[in-house]
Amino acid sequence: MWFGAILAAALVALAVVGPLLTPWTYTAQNLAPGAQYAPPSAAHWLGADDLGRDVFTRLAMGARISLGVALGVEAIALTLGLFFGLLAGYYGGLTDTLIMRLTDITFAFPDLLLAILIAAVLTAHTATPAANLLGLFVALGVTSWPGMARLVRGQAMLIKRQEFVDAARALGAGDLHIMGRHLLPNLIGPVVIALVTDMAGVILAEATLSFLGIGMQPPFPSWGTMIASARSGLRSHPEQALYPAVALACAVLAFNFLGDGLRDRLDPRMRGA
Amino acid sequence: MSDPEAPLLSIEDLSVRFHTPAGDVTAVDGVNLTLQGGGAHGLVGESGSGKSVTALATLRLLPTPPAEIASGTIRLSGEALLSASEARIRQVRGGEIAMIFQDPMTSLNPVMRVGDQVAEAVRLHRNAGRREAWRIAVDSLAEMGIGDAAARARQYPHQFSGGMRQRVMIAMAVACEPRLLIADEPTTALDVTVQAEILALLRRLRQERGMAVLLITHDLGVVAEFCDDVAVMYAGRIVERASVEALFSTPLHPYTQGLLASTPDPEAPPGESFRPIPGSPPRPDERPAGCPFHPRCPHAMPVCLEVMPPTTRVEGTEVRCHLYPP
Repeated sequence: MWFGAILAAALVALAVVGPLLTPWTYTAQNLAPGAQYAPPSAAHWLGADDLGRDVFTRLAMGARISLGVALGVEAIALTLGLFFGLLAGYYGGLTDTLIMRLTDITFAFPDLLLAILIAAVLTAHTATPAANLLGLFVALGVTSWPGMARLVRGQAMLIKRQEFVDAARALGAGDLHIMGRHLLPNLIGPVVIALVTDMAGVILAEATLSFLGIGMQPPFPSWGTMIASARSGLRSHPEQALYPAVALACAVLAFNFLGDGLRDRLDPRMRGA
Repeated sequence: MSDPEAPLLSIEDLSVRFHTPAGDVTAVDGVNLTLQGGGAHGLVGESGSGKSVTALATLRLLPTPPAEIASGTIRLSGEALLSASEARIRQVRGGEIAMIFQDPMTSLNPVMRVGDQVAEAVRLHRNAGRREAWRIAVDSLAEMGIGDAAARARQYPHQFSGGMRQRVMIAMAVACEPRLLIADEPTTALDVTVQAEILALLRRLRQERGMAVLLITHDLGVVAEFCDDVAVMYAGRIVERASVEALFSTPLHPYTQGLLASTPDPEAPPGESFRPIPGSPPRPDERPAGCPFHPRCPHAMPVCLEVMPPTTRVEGTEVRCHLYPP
């Protein structure tokens, strides 16, 4: 868990302050002879890419985009998941059936395929980075919320059967009060674990979409676009693909380790297993 | 709607059915109960006799479906509760009738500070700010006999013992000064010494606030100590209703007699200190015809196998048994 936490903290640090550490911007090109594919040096810590841009700066910007997208998507998944999950779990019956069939429909599509479809439609006619980002949020948010909703529903169904919920109702508490003050605080643990673990998946999905050219558009240096643009020079300069690939692997590992570690800490049923 | 002359709580001909996959089950069958303001009424019976269902029906807390109130009326000072609006019933819950449950270990939210839980209960019915609700909560915890209430209010339920948690539950229940407290087995999960303390606390609240208590229990000793009147339930029906003195000195129904005989008597010689009732209570879905107690009754007559006895009065005691014909 500590390994995951430290790795994740390093990534966050890279995303926040990384781009500020270098004198370059992620778009600054240098087409002078010898500047393309420059080897690592004091000026360019990880060298330069095919257009003479500083790789470290672009990697750090990539971290920013990966984490930013992941946070945005998790916010959407959390909001929708909590809303629909609480409604379904608390009320049950027809409400539950409708919401769960809706998640079933979303689950029926392969996640990535659905995301590709949505992203392709949304990014087809947009060029601005903001619209780009929004498209990614929606595409990945739509595929992420059903899992969260199911988790929240399951927890809500367990908690609402406990006696303190009956006790609250016997003292005049309404549905909203019970959901907000009794269900929500009691299911926050599993939800946090799921959020952290899902981060890894979302980061991977964003890189995939960007690699396929329907995520972040150039010149934005998503790790996915960086790997994609390194493909052309893969034989002569494999390190251009290696850097973002390693960064991606680190990010996925970090959040998986952190998620597993949190589960061991927070979930007493997993203790000792 | 509200009638000052009417009894605080009157339950008339209440019947509750549960729809189950195996068929309908009548959990409560024609129950009548009257409770005067400030009174203490016991409701005694074995598990499954319908006493808790009666209490939950009063506050409309039974999940419907599967439960269905097949007949009857429940009035609070003359106001019909079963037909009241959802908004009104929520005012009644906690505001006029509060309820505490058997297991103080599970009746408190584990992730909320106890002071917050009491303060929430205050704010449900009183227009109090956060700060003021907290102050009322701390005062209330202190009044329930929790030492160092200001500090204890900041703790979580797992830091409290069973008896202390039940005090917290009572503080929550009486926070808005209800006129009636329904206590469903409030002492069953507690040690005997703690039981006595909780009963003493409830008695004090009754005296100081004029709050009526409907005490649901299977423990006749608790009833003898606490109540003025008592109703004995068997298989969903009230079989005997009397003052506590009358019930203990001259129990009329064979089931009541059996209950009293099966309570250990410390003065009797060893081996004879108690005589359990033979057999066990019928399952709600296979109650015998006639009087449901007849398979276990030492006085069973042919008529008991076929006809449910009506309620008759014998010197102030209401009893449903063919031994006491009208």
